[in-house]
Amino acid sequence: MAPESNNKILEVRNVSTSYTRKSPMGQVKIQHVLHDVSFDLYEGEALGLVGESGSGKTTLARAILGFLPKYEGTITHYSERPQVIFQDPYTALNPARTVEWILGEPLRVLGKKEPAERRARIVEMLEKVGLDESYLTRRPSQLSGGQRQRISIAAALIMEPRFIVADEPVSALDVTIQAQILELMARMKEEYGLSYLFISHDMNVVYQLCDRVIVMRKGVVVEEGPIDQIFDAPVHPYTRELVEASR
Amino acid sequence: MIRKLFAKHDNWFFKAGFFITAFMVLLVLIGQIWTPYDPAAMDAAAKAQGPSLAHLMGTDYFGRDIFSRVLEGAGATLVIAFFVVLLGAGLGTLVGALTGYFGGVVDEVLMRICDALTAFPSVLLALIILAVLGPGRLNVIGVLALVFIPSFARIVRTEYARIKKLNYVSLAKLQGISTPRILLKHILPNIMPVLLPAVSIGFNNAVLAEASMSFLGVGVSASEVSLGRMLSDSQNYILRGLPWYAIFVGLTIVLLILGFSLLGEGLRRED
Repeated sequence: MAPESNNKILEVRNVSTSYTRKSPMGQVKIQHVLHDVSFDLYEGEALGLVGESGSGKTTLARAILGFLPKYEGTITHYSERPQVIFQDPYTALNPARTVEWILGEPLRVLGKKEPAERRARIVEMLEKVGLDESYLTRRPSQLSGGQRQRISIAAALIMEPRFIVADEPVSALDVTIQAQILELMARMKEEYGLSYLFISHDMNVVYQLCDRVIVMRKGVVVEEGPIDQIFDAPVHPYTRELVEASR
Repeated sequence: MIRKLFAKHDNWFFKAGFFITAFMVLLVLIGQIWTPYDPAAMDAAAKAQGPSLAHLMGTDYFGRDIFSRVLEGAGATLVIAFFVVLLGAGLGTLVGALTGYFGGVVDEVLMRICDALTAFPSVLLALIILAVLGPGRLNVIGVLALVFIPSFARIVRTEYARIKKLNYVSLAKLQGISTPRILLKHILPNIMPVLLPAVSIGFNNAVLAEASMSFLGVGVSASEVSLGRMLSDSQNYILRGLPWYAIFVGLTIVLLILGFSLLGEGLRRED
């Protein structure tokens, strides 16, 4: 499927990482985490990154976000800094702070010094993600998993990014809440023209949001293509396995 | 405000500790403004008396009112303890935050210095340094603060090393928030549940350490009053059948420490 525009947001070229492990016998073993991974992400596109745990998808996300100190290959961003939505909504929000403070923090960086101006923007953002003013004074411990993830989405969007990395954003949630959050993400994508790199182990979830899929296994890209093609006619046996499992 | 505090730390350790500490601090504060007698005034007519209505804790050989002297001495001890904890916990938190957050060379260098400090028993180390520097209030504060740094640094370091890996810190980095702000505004509030009990126990240890130093004659100088100094003086009175002096000074130290210990325990029990 053709990307919605030809403007590249992200270019990943030949990215590899490995770590060496010493066995008790003294043999050095090289463990590949990522091996020669290349792909592009275009503006307005939701790219799914699918694989089981240990496939290297989270390491790749860390590299893209700039949290991986060492890797081979190049990662080029064509947008401002990406934002992120994490899997675990329990560690993604500062437990010592209120929702207003958490959402106000990026605005302070952006130079919005006026508290009233900040608050207006925060309330506007809360309403966008389906919450309201009454959440301003709450702390993360007073929120449900779904509500926390809405706040996480608001925290990512308030920076007005063009590109969001979502690392298993719904896998810690109930199925009904999953659907709501996915719908919210889809709506935000339309509204802001966002690009997503959507990491998941669940083909079903990817199917609901993504335009294109990359399937990874043991650090290697085994298949790549438009979502419908991957779903209807998977080529690689591993992809077939994943698709079967999701039916 | 007190009700809010008690609602947050709803256990008897905290409440009892709070009341004892508040009582002692209040007493000491009053002692700074008003004491029944001038703590230094001698009265030849009232030498070495037991407790009475005129002299609640009796008098010493110079006829000085012990209650007035305890108030002044406890004030001196508390002031010393306050600055020791302020400096020790402050610098310890700074060292712990830097080593825990950055790791690497900073961690190696600062923590090895802390290890070297902890290799000596802290009171012994303080004694040696004070023996060299000579007695005096400022010296006591400086030396005790120094030996208190490693314990705070270690606690804070562990917390920073743990929290820096959490997602909300990663998020703050992505949002472009400066490192000093992350250290101070994002992480520090989250280590308070661990830091506050440590501060309370630190107070406790500082009172004890000051008393020990002064008792041994290397603490505050001879002309100054402090609880340790007075406890040291009171030894002579016990042998001559006048136990009041030692009992009242000792009791004051016990109450101070009990208050801080209970407070620390109460803060710790909350989670």
